[in-house]
Amino acid sequence: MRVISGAVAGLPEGYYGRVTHYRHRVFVEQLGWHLDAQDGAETDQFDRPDTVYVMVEDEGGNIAGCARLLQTTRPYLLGEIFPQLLNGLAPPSDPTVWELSRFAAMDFNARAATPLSQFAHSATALLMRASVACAAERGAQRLITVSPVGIERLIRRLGLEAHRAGPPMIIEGHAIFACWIEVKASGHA
Amino acid sequence: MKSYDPRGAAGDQLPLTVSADGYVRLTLPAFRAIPLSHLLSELDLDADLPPSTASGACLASIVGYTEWASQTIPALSVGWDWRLATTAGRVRYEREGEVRSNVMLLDARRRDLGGVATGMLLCAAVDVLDWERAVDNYINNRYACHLSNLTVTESRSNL
Repeated sequence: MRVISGAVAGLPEGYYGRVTHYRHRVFVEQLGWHLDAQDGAETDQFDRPDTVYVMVEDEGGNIAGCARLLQTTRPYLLGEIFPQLLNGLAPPSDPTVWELSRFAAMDFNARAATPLSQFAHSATALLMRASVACAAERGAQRLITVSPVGIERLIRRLGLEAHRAGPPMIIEGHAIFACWIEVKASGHA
Repeated sequence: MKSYDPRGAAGDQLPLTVSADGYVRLTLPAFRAIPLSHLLSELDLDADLPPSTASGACLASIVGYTEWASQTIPALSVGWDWRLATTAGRVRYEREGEVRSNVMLLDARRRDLGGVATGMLLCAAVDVLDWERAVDNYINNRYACHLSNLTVTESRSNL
């Protein structure tokens, strides 16, 4: 497996389109999230020229995972859409804090790919570590995520120092929460 | 439900606040004085299940996680994994692994105890809560059909 990362302009040709289609398959088709989608691609207002994408590609050239990194000094998902997940804390606006969102590692080539199997294969760990490293390279000391609650276990199993920002909330039938991840403590700073 | 007065909680003189790092800081006595309410529980269908411990049979292993929170502002949030354990024919819920939270416990001088010590103390605090019944009711209501299927599977495999 290999990691590909960068802003849209720095990605290999065609990879941005591939990641938006992968996101559609995961979040819209498999997880049933009500997200903006067009022609089998999932994008939103936070997919901008400065947005950083992290992808894992398997040996067969298939996207096996993706994540999105946003600076908190510009509009980001948690600050704009889900500030209530911060338990009363004002959304951070800090060059050393980046947001990790749209994190998914689902192997559609596995014999029985299901949404619940997304944390089970090796691409997940690789993607999480690559996302943390990619953020660290850009000056992040902490990440804040908006994710399904299950990701907290994954983060901690990987040995990353993390804690939730507050209680999970049921939003459109899905339990999501915000979680802090220490980048410095993971050895990338 | 018992109301919470931070001034009355032993060892704690300050109202609850969220720190910039996202933690809610308080002492263990203060934490214990705050009631926690059940938010949600889910089956973990993605868990790595251990091999069966039953000889010649295949026990259905049921695991999941549960989330609890206080009614305070800011809220305390704690969650942990559980497993339905069978001992001497009796089925009961057991906490499994660490407690995840937004809590940082403080010592009497209001210094952070750190993540490891906080985690251990929260585990001990959770273990004296009567959480099993709430989880059982929630899971049974939410997954009645699914659990019924698991029961059938277990029965058949024990034939």
